[in-house]
Amino acid sequence: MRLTIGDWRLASMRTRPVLALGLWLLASALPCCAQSFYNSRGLGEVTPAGEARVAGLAEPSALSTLNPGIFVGLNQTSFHVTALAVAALGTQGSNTRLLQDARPGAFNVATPLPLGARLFGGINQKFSQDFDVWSESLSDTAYRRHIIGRGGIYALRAGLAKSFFNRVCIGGEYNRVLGGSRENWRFELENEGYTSTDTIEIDYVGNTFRLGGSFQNDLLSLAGHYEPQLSLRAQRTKRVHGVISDTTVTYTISLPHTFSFAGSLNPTRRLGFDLGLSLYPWQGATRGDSAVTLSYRDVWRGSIGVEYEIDSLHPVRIGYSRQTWYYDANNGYLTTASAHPDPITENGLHFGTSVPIPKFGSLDISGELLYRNSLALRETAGRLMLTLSYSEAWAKRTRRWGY
Amino acid sequence: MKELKSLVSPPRIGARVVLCLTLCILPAAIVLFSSSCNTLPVGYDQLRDRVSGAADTTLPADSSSSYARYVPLGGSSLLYLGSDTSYVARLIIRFSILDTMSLDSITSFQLVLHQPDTARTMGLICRPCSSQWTESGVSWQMADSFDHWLTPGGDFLSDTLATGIMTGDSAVFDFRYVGLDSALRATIRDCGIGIFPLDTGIVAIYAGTGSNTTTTAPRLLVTYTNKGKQTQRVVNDASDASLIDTVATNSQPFDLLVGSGVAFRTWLTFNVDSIPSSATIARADLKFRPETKYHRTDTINLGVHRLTDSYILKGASARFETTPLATASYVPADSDSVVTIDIRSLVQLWTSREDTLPNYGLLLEAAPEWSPLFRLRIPRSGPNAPRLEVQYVLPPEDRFR
Repeated sequence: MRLTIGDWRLASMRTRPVLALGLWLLASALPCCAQSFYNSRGLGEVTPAGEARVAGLAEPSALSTLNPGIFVGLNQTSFHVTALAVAALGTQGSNTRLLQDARPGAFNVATPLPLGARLFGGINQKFSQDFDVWSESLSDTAYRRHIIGRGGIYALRAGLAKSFFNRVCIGGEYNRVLGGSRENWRFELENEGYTSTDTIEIDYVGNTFRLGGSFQNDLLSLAGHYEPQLSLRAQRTKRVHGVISDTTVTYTISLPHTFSFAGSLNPTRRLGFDLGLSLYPWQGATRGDSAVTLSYRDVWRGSIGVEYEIDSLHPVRIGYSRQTWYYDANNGYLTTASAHPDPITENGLHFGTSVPIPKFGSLDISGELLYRNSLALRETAGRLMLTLSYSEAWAKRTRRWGY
Repeated sequence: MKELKSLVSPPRIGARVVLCLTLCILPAAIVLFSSSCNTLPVGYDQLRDRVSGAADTTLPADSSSSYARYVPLGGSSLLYLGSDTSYVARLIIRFSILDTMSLDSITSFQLVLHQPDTARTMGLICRPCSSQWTESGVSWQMADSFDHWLTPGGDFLSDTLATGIMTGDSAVFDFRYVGLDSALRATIRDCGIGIFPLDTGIVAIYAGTGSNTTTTAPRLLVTYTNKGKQTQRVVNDASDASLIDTVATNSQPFDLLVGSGVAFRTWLTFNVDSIPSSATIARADLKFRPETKYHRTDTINLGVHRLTDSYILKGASARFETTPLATASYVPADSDSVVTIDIRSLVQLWTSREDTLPNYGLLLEAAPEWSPLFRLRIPRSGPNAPRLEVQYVLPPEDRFR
């Protein structure tokens, strides 16, 4: 039978957690390079939910663990870990450059409580600020810069949910949002390899809540979640030449609320269709008490995905997504984005599958091809996501399959 | 039929699929790999509105002065002998003569000198030096780092040890040593000899230090009879130096001079207060077009030193870093050439570390000061006067503005 939204296949605590830990450490040890040429602007790319199963269906956010009301059928304590590898090929004029990135994606854990309640938590990245760009070549100027941005904004999540009649679930979670970015503006000269570095460090702290719910049966599933305004306190420190520190500046970044909806239709036991829609009405995003507008956009992200089980062991997933990023690219005009808008549009093709691991759980695999376009820059990104899930559901099946 | 079956058999199909995938993936992988290694400016436009821009400025010298110093010349590879309208030069040499040397069987005692310019000739006379001196500290006025000569230019006895004419690539002079009394021989062993010019003009003689080989270094050639056979023994020089004076040092007190031999140093300051302390200095070139007053070399090397004391307060006694911060070459034959010295790191220190590294200015001098004789005059004003051309870039703006 095709898995429904609530069949959240995570690991049983009785299985071997060493493998999960190993995957997590492996992902952590991989070099973190860069992710997108556009990440130098705004708060950076909105990071996808760290689940390969959902990514294969074009990432409908409301169907992922980012929705606190998704835990309809959870009956075992379980967890999963995700590793993410990204390669982005940027093209600007006749120039082409590749960035790559491999890092942990997410960690989630959930446990059922009496009376249909669920306790869950996890960590995932909300925004990525990894980038790596060079300025003009030395043939054009006497100097050039190499700007390396590292960091992101993360959410430490903990929440409670309640399942009713094994069909409906509502939940809420608290998010401690924190993170930081470090930009190194390396200044290089042609002679003697002289280098100085200006460093801009920003630390982010914030709190937010998220509410979600879902309805699930064999034929139809509906889900949605809502996140109210997020106020991020950002503390910026600039260090010039590694010596001079100017005064620390603290300001607040306010992001308006976010909505996500999804629906799933299962006409047969083996076939299912998923639709997702996320709304980011962020035109009103501001910075500071004086409410300086950040010139973000009201944008949406839509997705459609299909899952088909070739047999009970091998589901395949394919999906398509389209979105406009919430901030504009800089198309060369050094004025406000609203005066010369250059939206970043993204079209994505997503596919994935799952590999059962007997007496263990499953390994979900997804691949994504994302084509991002603006007047200034084109970017083709490939994303590979691996999620190691420990699931009692799989253990039951393995017994059925004879193990 | 069998062939058709074999073609579509699973192993063949699998191999073809692998081959096709390899042919497709390999070029793509090569393209991606080459793209990952380059440093092309893809995506830099996304940061342009955060780059504050660059600025160019040209600063004239705020203050300037010049002074002369007698400096030790023992490190030079050439010794100078003679006099002309600008310099007077003599040299002193000390040999490793053993006081236990038996003089009974010596048949000849000769001084050998070599010169690089074989066309020059110079009459010379050798006299014993009467005061001890050190190679690292000896100059026209000083016998070592602490003691002055009794007479500027060195203390010498009137005895003549050798005389002759330096000509060709080398010359050999009969050297009086054997017939001298023991006290005078001891003085020669301890204090060495001085060689004085008898003609005008200046010749260069190879020294025994630096890059010179021992074959051209000054030496004594001792011939003696050993068991009826004539045998030669070489006594190498232990230390040597030129003693150089210049005529009319203060005849042009307002000139900015840079020179070697008698060292001329020029002090310059530039007011860099207009450059923000947070700026990154992309380029800072000290430029001037000097006038060549004297030179005995085709290429002149100049060095810039950072002053660590205030020249205004301490004058010529102001201390400076001994290692040059930057150097540049100047070709006297090219009258149009402008001296350009990259002092970017120094200007960066002045602007960004003003509190700990005050801007006392810079000192321009020969690099090194025992290099072949030259003297340059730097105009104080006008288009050829020293100027500092600076290009700087301000730090980036915040991510959120």
